[in-house]
Amino acid sequence: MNILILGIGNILFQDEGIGAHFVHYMDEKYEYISQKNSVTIVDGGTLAQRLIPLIVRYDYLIVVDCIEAYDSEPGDVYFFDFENAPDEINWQGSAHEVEMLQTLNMIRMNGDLPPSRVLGVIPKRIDDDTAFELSEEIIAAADTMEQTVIKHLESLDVSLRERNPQITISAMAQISFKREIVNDSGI
Amino acid sequence: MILEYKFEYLSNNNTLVNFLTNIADASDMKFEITKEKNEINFYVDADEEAMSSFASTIASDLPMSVFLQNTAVSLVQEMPPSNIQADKTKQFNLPFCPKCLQKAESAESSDYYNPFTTCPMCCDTKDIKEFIVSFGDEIKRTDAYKEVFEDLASRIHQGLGVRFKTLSGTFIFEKLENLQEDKNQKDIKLLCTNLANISNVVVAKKAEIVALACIEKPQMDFRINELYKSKNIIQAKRLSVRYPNDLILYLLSKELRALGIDFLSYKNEGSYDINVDFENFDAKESLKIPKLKILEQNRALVLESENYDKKFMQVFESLKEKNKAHFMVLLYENSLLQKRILNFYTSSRDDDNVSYYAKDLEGFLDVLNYRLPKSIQEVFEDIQKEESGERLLKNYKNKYPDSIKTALEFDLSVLKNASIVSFWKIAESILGFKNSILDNASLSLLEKGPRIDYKLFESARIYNKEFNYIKLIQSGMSFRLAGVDERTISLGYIESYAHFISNIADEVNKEMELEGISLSGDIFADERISHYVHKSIGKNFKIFYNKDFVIQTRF
Ligand SMILES: [Zn+2]
Repeated sequence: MNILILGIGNILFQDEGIGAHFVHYMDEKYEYISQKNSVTIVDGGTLAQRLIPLIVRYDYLIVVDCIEAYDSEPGDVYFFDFENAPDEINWQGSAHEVEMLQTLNMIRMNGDLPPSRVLGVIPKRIDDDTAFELSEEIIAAADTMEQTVIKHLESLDVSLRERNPQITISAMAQISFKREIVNDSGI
Repeated sequence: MILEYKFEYLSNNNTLVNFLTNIADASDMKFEITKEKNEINFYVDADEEAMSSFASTIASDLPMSVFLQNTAVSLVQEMPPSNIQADKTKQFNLPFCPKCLQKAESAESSDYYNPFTTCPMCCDTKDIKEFIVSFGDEIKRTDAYKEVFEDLASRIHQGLGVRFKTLSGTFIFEKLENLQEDKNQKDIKLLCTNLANISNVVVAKKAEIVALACIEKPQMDFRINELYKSKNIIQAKRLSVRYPNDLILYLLSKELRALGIDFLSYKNEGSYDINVDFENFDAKESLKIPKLKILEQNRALVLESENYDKKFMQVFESLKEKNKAHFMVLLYENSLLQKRILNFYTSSRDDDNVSYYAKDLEGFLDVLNYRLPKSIQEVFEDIQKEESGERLLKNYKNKYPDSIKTALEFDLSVLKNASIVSFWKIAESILGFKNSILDNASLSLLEKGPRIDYKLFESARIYNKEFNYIKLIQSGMSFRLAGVDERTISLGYIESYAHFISNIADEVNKEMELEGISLSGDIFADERISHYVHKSIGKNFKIFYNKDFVIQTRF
């Protein structure tokens, strides 16, 4: 099975870039090992319209993005099935130009959508131009997100080996805009 | 037995067919040649012994060409009839061929060290009987060529300048250390006399070095090697290099090599110590030096040349808009008139354009046009109208007041072309860049830059779309505010432009089922742009370029 981890977000708006930063972080920190499955990581920010043909090539999808939810605090993490999103969640694909929800729905209507999970996190909105600075809340949340992904991948028979244990999410946020993905199987 | 030589040859010229015919005739071989699009197939029929000696003749007598991509040989059952013939009556006008070189280099040959020969395949200079060498008051006529070359090489080595008539015109040659750089001079021209050492002075890839030695003997631009630059002999960043294209320069180079001289600089005018001339050469017959660019994919793009079929000039002149004219010639050159093709014309000298061609369209459909703002003030006003634009502008003004001030002084009426290059100039000014986006990107060591927004204004139609330049400027400003350096932002501008092209291609493809993408205009000869464009559309679309016609006209 080919698994795709897709990060979405606008990195120019602090926490809203977490989806992109987080997948770069996971890409830098780990190698993904499995007998049967492969893991590909994609920073969806740079792909725009190419997302549809990309997604349909995979058998399993994990989307990482910002979400909104009722009664939630910045830094809250949600992990749910795309088909069965909890009622309180409002996910427009974090209002980036890449309208993720719409894109996934389009693929689903064509019957091409692989089983899809969403790893969502509530961003803290800051109104200044510190671009690559993340809020404390989101930095703390990244830990939970990381554990969630690890556990989920293990349930899919993928084990992770540390490649660069020193990397932190805030350090990654400073460079992810110019970083190339390593775990790119090229499917 | 019948052997089939398969050549992938990306030119419509007949040079390869001419050489194959000449070589086969000289060996008395039974042969046929067929041509289908870019494929030239050469069939020879002989017994095994004759075949093996013929194989080595081909290897030594067939010149390398920048247009030759692939060669394969296989055993086949049948020999199809030729559908293409060599031009037998014509005297060709090409740089020296392998056979002539062998004659001039072989001590047993009667033409040993004779730069003037007659050859049906390359050049006819048999009427030239001697050199006329003037040094001080002395004028000497001589055909003791070897002595002349040896003497001149040692004079150049001593530091003298030699004005030399060649088959491509008269130039003054001297060694690099003597070069007086003129600040107004756009490019420094170098003759590499020893390709084995070319990398001591410029950064050259293997394919580029091979191209310099090909039968076309092109001139190509290279970046100066940093180590050499630090010796402070040359200040220029780009150097235009070629390899000897006639036997005069070749034999001179041979003597220079022996003295450890790998490069000469040359120019058309200036002072000199020795003059070497000859008579009985018609300047009209002079060899033209094409200017080429070798892309990463090993593809040769013609930047300057007169070696194209003149009927294409008629096609070119029949269309008023440059972009359409280039597109039309490209369609002809690649036999694409029955296909559905999307052309991107990106130029540093004209208006850019994206247009679609299909046979049943009876013309072209403009997909995208650019409209330049009238002033930087207008740019700032437009940004202000955007969501979060006001805040961005305020922060930017606080942090970079000087950039804002200088940008406002930029008179946009100097931008003559509605093109992406003009928008880059606007961005460079607002972002306070010291160098151009293209230059910066070419020097960046990164593979990936930040994502710069290339957007179109929303529109339901797929034609006549308008480019939303505000986003292009805004995203650059945001990255600068975030502390990203000039070079890296520039790389983002270039990389994202390639993604933009690929997005447009995808959009048009959804409606029109494209059969290919064509790229014209000089910007596509830029290494970085070409790299990213191939990376983002190469997998999904077949990419076409002009073949023998220039990628960008100068007139
Ligand atoms: Zn010859």
